Amino acid sequence: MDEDNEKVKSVILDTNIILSSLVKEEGFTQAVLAILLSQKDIKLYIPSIAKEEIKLHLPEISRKSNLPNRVITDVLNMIFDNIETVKEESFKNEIQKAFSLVTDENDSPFAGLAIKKAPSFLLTYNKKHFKVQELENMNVLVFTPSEFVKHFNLEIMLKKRVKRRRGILKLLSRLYILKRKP
Amino acid sequence: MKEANRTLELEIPEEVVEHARESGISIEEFRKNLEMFGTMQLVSETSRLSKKEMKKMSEKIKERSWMRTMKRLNL
Repeated sequence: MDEDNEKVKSVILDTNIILSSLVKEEGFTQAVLAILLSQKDIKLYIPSIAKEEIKLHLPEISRKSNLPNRVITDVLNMIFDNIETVKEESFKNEIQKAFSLVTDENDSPFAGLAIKKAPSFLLTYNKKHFKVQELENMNVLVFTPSEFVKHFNLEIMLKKRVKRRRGILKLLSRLYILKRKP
Repeated sequence: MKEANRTLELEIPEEVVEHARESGISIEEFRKNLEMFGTMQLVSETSRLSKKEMKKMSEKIKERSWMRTMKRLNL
């Protein structure tokens, strides 16, 4: 990994990570998401059609969450404003490569985009849908939100030089603790 | 569905602000981070969407996305 790539991290977000912003018990993932969305040295990506489909499912999300459509739209717009959508045509070859790297073909566009943006991270709740070791060989690390945080913590312990990132992690834990106080 | 505006008064402990400053986090990043986290927390607080339903919904969205992707790219 060269110095420039080390500075800016590419992170591909699964739809389940984005939708966790609307789930009450997902405070930890929301804190991770807030940090990812606000950091200048992290670039977030999602396949274009996946974003369109999330928006097309708004009425159903609204019905199941009992939240007004407008509120969900506001939250999702706040999130999507900080995520770059990538047209599938630009990573068709990588999607085809990804066929053999997923256990559920519905995840091919996410794995394909992660390969296109490698070295990259793929953040998901469904690690079992991805052939993690094979993707790692292609410079794609598949993590759950908690693993993602732990990974950076480990990185800090090993390299002992990313003071700023350690600060962000401490801040995350403080925010989480503050929220959980009655 | 009843809609209401809620204003959240958020007091950030000086210790946390100081820690952010010492850690090199810009006030702009810090404010953005808090706004995002606060918004998600406020909204999800009243949401009835369970984690199980969310995962199911996500799978449905990805299935639809994949079908459209295959069609668009002639896969």
